[in-house]
Amino acid sequence: MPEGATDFEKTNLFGKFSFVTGNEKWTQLDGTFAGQTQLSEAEAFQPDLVAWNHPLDMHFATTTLDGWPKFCIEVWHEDRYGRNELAGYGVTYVPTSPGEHELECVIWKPQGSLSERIFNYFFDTTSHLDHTDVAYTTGDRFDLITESVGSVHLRIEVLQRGFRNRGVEFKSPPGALA
Amino acid sequence: MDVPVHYWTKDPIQNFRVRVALRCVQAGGFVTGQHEDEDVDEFDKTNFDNTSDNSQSDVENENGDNALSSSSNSSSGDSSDEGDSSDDDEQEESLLGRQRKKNKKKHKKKKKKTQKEGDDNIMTSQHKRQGRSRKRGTAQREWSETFTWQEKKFGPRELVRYLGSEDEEGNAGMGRTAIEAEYLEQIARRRRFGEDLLQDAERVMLFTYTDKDGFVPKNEMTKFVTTSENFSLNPVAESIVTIPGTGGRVAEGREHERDDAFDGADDGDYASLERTSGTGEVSAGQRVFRESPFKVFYLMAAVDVDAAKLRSLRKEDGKFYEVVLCTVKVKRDGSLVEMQPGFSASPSTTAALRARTNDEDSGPPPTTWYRFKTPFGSLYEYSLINEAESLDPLLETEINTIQRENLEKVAAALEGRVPNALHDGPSAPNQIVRRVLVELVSAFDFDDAASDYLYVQYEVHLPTNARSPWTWFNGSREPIRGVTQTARARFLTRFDKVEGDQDTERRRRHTAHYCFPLELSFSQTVTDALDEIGHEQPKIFFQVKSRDTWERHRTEGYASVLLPGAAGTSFHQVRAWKVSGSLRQQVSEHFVGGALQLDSSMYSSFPQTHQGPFLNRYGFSTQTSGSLHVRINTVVHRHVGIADAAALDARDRELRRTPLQQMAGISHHSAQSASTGDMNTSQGQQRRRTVADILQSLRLGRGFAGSSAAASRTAAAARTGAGAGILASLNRVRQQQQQQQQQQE
Repeated sequence: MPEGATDFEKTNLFGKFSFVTGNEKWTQLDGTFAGQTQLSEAEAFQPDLVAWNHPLDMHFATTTLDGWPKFCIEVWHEDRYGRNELAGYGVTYVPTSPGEHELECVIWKPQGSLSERIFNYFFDTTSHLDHTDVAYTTGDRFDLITESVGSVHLRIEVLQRGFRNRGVEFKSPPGALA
Repeated sequence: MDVPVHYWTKDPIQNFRVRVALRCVQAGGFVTGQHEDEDVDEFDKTNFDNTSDNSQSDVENENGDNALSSSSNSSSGDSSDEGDSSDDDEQEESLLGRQRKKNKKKHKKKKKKTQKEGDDNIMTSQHKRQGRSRKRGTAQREWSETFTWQEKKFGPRELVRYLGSEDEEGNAGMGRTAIEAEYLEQIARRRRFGEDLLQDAERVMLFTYTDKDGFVPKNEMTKFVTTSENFSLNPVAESIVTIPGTGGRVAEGREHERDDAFDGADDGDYASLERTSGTGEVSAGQRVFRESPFKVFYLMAAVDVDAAKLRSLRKEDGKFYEVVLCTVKVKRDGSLVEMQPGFSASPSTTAALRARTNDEDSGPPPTTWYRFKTPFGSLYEYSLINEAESLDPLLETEINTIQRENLEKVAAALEGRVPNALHDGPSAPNQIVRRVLVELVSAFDFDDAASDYLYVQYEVHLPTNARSPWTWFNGSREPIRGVTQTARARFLTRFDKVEGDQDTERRRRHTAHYCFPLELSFSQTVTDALDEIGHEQPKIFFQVKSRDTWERHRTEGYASVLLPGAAGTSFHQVRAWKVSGSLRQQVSEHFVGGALQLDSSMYSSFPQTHQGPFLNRYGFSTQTSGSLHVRINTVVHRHVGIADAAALDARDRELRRTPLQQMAGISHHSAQSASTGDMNTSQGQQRRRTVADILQSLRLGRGFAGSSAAASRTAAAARTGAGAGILASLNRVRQQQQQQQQQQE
């Protein structure tokens, strides 16, 4: 589950997340695959951490190992005037090995030209991506100039079933080959 | 006796029948010589009979010492059933005695002594009278009632309330809850039909409290968890124990001191029947729900009832002792019944014995009699006999089979959504496919003097020697290249636990975030298992470059990661180095940029021009720069044929079957045979009945008195036969509705 966001400059944050799979050979069996966390404000004396603790539970079925699901998140913040504005994008692979993982999904936001940046500074806005696919794929990334903002922490537990009988190994036992 | 007993049942709602048989062991007026909190099951009846006469004085002394058993004092007597003329005297004296008891709650011992002396006269006179009656034989009068689930039978307190209130000005609507209104209406209707509800009022009345009544037995309200004298429940406990929405109404009153804990009906109790107006209790109760949803059913007995007084419907005169005989709880999903205390004889025993003896009456006597004592000194014992229809073993197996098949159908349906085959895998047995998910997470600690804007170029190179078994999944061997976005680094805190990272403190580093996912698929041709590891592994090379506003590009570092062969998830924090050239080159790099670059990034591992076993990098000087954080997920996909996969799946399913299933020999449905299985069951549905059908046929059979079980009911059950008939028809309607729903599904 997304535990929280750290290191953002803004402190009122909520996240819009979704699980994106590479292709249509992945079918979603059960669970919520996209959602939005609550809006959470950082603690007064620890403004670094914004806690969401949003639970996730989903089941996938697949016929191919291509297109392993990715966890995509957009972090938004709400300012004191009630406006919602983008804080950043982030994507990370769902780990393949079974077990519990603590992941840090780093977040970046697009940066515009100088004039746009001045505008953003005074009006507290952000440049957005035209198509959010760019955030989750790698094809057009070189076009972007981005700015690093904080990160989102996830704790994910992964379970697989049925793969072993088809010869797929997700975690080599210690001492295994190579 | 305090431990609840659990029963599994297929159909508790329809099938629950319990017969309560209550009999009086010892009529009241005696001090019994037992303390209140002793386990009366060990009570020796014969011993009592013989020694009670002699041990009067001893017992008095004992009771004097026991603070709790004040109620067993003989100050009040149950002589109403004798119909003696001195009844009223008795009552008054008992009333006096009670009041005296109440006034001196704090000084128990003193009070006992005075009472003892004062009551001796009463006692002896009572005793003589009681002794006479007792010598006539311990009362073997037995009262019996059969109850089905949530069958409401009014108790004396309720009768007085509802009948009495009707006689008054007809308090409609004032402070009445929905339940009260419903009961009032019921009683009014029955009276209109000429039924005399008080005709059954006698010394002992068996009745029930259903779930709706919101009754809470006194022992739950005055539960003593600590040794403290203060036993009032805190608001949270109170709201959990009392049923929300009824205003926390408890039928037996709440404000009791410890020594009055066994007081039955009292003037104070009647007053507490009114809905408590305290808003605190009501709102707290509504906020807290039952932790695990259940429906409760109380089987009650009111003993030592003064029937004459009850008929007069005078609240002030009715004194009796309400006791909970049995608490029945059914969990919401309906299959687990919790009873406290449990049935007296196990149903299978009873049924088996019944079958064997072919007995028409109620079967062999139950084995366990539970006992309780009243404050008036009477001792009663009761038994709970399970009268539920026990299913024919054949029917039961049929029901079990149907239920199991339903479950398996559901499992197969879910299984059907999961695909069977895995594509894009190795096509030949000697082929291994590796899928590597590389994620370039961030670059940090690079020199921030030059520029904040960093981008990373990556190249994935397969080993170039001819013997290498590695190719891309599409068969080519060309390196894959790409570049990330240009990210502006900021001072951000790093939290990640990175493999081999000695620096565990969190501090702000100059970090550029990329989160760049890269999916690579390798195909490896191996001849045997050793061949897997005997070759050079593919590598991924990174070049970190910076770009400033003047469009000067500088190389900030080179790094490379060996793609791991083992499957799993790994983090890598790769240190990068940059070339430090001559002074001239450095100056040029600073002003113009682009001076210090490697020809090919492969130089960081094996240069392309390298040959021979000895790699010499002498003369090449570099400078350490920042780090890259790379997360790699590796999946190894070996070849398994389709037939083999299916066989392995079948074996897994076999192993997953529970021992019960294995014993029953039920064949499992596999995903492929689910379709054929469906065909079989659709044909079989014509001859197979659903569970509901079976149970309904049982009930119909029962209604027509076709089975011997129907004839074995007691008179009490027959009296409620009218009610049972209504219930049976209600059950039929409910079953039909369920059937319709099932057909729709």
